[in-house]
Amino acid sequence: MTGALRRLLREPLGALGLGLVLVIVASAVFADALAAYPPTQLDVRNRLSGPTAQHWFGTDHLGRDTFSRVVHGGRIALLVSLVSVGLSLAIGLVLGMIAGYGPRWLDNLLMLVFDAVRSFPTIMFALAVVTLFGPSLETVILIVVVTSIPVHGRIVRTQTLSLKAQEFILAERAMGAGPVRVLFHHVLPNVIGPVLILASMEVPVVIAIEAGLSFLGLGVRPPTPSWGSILNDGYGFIRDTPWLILAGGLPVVMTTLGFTFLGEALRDVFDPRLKRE
Amino acid sequence: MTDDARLLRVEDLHVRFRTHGALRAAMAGNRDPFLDAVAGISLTLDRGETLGIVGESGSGKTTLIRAIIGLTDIAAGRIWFDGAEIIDRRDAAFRPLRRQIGMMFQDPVASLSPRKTVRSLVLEPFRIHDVELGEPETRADELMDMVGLPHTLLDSYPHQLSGGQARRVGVARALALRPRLVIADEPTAGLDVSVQGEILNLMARLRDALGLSYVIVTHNLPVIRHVSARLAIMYLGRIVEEGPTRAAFAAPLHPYTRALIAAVPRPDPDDARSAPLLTGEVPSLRDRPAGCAFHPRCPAAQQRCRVEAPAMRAMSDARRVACHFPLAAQR
Amino acid sequence: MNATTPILEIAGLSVSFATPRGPVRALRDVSLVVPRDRVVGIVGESGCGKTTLISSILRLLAPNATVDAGSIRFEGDDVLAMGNTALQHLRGGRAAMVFQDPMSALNPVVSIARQMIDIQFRNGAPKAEKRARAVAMLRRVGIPDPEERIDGYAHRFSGGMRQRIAIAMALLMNPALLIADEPTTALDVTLEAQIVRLIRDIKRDLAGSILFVSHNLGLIAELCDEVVVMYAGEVVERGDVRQIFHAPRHPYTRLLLACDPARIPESGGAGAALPTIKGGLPDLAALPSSCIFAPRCPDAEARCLHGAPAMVDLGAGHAARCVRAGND
Repeated sequence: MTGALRRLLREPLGALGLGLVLVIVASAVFADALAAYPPTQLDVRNRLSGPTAQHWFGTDHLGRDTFSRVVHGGRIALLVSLVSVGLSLAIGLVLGMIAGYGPRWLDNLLMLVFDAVRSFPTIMFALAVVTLFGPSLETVILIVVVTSIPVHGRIVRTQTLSLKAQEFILAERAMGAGPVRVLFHHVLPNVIGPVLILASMEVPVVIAIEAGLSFLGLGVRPPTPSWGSILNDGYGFIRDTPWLILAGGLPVVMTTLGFTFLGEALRDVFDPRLKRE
Repeated sequence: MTDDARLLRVEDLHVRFRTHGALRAAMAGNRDPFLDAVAGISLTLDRGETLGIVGESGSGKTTLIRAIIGLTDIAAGRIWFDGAEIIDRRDAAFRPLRRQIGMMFQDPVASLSPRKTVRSLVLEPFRIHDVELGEPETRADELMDMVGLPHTLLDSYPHQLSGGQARRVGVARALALRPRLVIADEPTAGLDVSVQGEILNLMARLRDALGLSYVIVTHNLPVIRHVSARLAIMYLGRIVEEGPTRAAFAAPLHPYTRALIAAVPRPDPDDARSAPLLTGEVPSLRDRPAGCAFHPRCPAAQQRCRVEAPAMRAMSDARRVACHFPLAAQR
Repeated sequence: MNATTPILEIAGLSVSFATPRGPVRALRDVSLVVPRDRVVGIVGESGCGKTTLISSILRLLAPNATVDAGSIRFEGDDVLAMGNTALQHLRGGRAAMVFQDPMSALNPVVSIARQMIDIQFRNGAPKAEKRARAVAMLRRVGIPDPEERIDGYAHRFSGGMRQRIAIAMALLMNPALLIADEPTTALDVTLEAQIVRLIRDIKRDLAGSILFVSHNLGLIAELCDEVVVMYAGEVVERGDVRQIFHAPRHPYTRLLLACDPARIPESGGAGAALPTIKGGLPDLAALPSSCIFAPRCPDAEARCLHGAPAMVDLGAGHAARCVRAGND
């Protein structure tokens, strides 16, 4: 594990990516400490101001401190993305391993389900879910999880299928290892690499989805701050101040870059196969 | 020979692989969609014995040992281990048997889980079978001593090991739970001649120390000559000759055996090959020749060989051959 | 170049690879000669440098390799100084190679006919003639029904057949040197025997020489006129095949012969322990200053530890890199 970390840091983009991610995460975690004002506190007299000593990112149309809203919005973004990617990763991993390792009929069944889900247009699915359950954080998570499981599942399944025939898996079976042990001790460590990379690259996508849904008014409800809703507000008041747009967009860009660089570097770390020690 | 002395007994084993589904087979005009990788093998192994199974590609030798250890399904036949017949071949039923049968795989590095340390690998059998480990460190050290590897390698990963070291780890792992039988698939493949002896000597030492029985599968005739007292020659899924190694080399009964022995190059420039070479190649399992499977390549094939598959018959002193016109009989 | 110029003459070749751990000296002071119309065998085990040597001859070394010293002359021409045109002419034309894996030479998505016609690009003959030559060569190497089968693809042929096709392709340009790098290692023993027999037959027709690389002593004995024994990047002994097999003078050669199970008198499974060579290969990135084989040599003396020995000429073309070679 530490070896992987060291290799990651040796790549300049990897170190940069990791750095950006840590900054975003830290600012979200320590949002309360960092923000001078609560994100929903109004200060209408100072509305739509640019960056000042008291309001580092200025204020929005209701006089709320934009910086505070951004770092708190980071919580939402990270929460949604990490939870949904994490969940879909975990479920996709298990289902993919079962599909790849188990009997043919189970594989066929699971692939049928995956394909059915994937063939459904995501936007329509999202709209349908939002209509049914109302817009909320949980809804966003649900949408993302359901549409991502088949993607992760397929990758894991393909990897599992190719591993299944490998000699060390046969050796484990020949020693008497049951399928559960084989899957979790021997298949999982060898398939998780590509999925982790994919997951890392998906985090910014989910953040963008969340931002997009919030921008459309289908995500988190006001006054909860979200990068998307900040962008939404900023869009309306762009003539008065560009800072809202910048404040809402910048973290999205940073997070996207950070996780993407991290993912790319992870790919190099996992891929050269330990054979290149 | 009473059944008590027999550790392993295989009777008329058949293993078939489906090449395409039933629908395609019907569409292809009912062509048989099966390949008979193992087409009726019977053999026995006594306690403390080393049996060599010799064959080239397509002989079915790897499929045979996988069938014995339960890694493939069998179409027909019976297997007894230590007197008890193996009826239930499902994983759960096979588990206790797998403690008793250790397996060494052909590719030593590929048969080790790539992200596990050697320590984890040699202790794996204990964990699989929930056997009391006691002090794991001590156990791991003991296993390394048994196979003559330095303890420092315990923290290495399979890709960091040389072929010889990886083979020894395979031995340690196979013997960790003191099995009765060890099946070794090409134990010297990929090893330089100067180190082949190490693994073979180790296996012999452990056989004496632990009272093991071996089934060694190989295509390497010079090696098998030194390590097994009895051998069985396989061709296209059947045993064509079986008997004491010395006799098989001195006076082969089956033309294929003779051809195999003749094909081995002699490391002496003045010792040219004696018998004529075998022509052609091993036919694909899809196109199994009628009658005796060897007849298209057999220098002594006659009409009977083309239509009738020879049954295994006993010759003198524990030798058996599946041939209508065995060589010794021609003398 | 005249009739006595050797096809290949390697003198004092040293090659090293740049690695994170420092330079790995894969070949050190390697000299060998392939005379005309002879089969020269290179025998050695893993790590002996035979692959690096072969790659050097055709200048196919990896980018991190450097030729530190020495020369390679092909029919008198300096290979290391060759320009691209000359190299192209050399590779596949004047010198052809057969690999362990025939699929190294065969393109899986192109028909055999097309490949065999393509490689004849150097001569200006019409396509029909090239095809005819290809068919004739396939017949020569024992492919049945070559007229039809030549239009097939590689995967339709068995491993043994593919190797025959690879040999046919190598011979098509009438090379002065055929380099065979473990051509039968991946084949079953009965197929191996056939391919070796084929190479022996072709040796007669071939207007050139063969450089045969193998770890299999039996094949070397059967095919080769002269033998070069390599260990850990050095040539430790060379001589004609009988000298090497009947009167080896380097301890490594002797031990190698002693370890070959085909030379050990049969014990029928009761088995005295098989001989081995104790120890392992030296680290080529951190070479000892002694004779390269000294750590594993049962006959090592004090003087073996002080510097690498030079080749000792034993007469009649026999030489061994051992301080004791002249004595015994």
